[in-house]
Amino acid sequence: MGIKLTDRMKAWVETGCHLCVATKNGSPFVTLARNIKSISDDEVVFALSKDEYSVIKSALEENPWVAFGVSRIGGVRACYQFKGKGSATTEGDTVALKVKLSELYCTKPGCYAGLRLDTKSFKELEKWDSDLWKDLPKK
Amino acid sequence: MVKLTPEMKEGLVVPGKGGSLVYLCTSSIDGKPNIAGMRFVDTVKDDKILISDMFLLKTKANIKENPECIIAICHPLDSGRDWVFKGKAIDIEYGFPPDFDWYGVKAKEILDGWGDWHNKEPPDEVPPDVVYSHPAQRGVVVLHVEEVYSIEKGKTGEKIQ
Repeated sequence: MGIKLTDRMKAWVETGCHLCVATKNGSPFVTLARNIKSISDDEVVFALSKDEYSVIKSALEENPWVAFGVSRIGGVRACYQFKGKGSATTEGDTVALKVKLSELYCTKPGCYAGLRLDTKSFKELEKWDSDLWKDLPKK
Repeated sequence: MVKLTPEMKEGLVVPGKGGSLVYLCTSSIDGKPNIAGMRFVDTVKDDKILISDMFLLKTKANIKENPECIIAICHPLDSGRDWVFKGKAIDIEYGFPPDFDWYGVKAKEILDGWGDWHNKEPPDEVPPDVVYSHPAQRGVVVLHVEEVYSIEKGKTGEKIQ
């Protein structure tokens, strides 16, 4: 089943994210992405500076998996984990990392921790999401 | 050899005591990453970070097959806490032999100190629509820190220790 992020998810993701990648044999690396755009229902682009990209470059070149969560207060308010495969292109001093999402999880502590959300229909996902939370990030 | 600074130790306590929400980042042995936010955090000695094993699923499975692990500050970041801690982790669960040793700390010491973390540091500051309804701790994750690097804007990846 394809992923379609809710408007709330997209709004929080665009506030900034912690990205986690790993080498093929499981050594993880984390960087911070500050400039983000949801370009479709299941694709997110991270505009990374050279230093932000340098941390994950080697691992990403051998293994495309990317997991990410929302940074700062979004770590409290937006209890989601997003996973997909990424591909990077360099545009001047910026690296555009496009991630095609394939998995979506809830990370709220308690009974919903680890609940897989991309198995729900979009209608079910929207209802589940809006039943729990309605707040959007401050602009 | 890493030695956590006083500022790092102040930042690595529960948010309600002025600390931080952190991300615990793991990977399966074949390289599928996982990232999940954690509220119960503390340090022991100069090179260990503790996380409560409460509601861990994929994280727990990953640590059981691959100890390589990262703890990164998630919030607040603007207070100069732009740190990523990398090392090897174990989940010391109830039932471990008391004298089990992980890089110089014993299972008994960890479980006696942090094995009932909900009552030790209740999540009073966590919003009601996010907090769990019932604690379910099964152990304590201990990260032996081997490297610290920065995620500060313009300095990402710079080795701190």
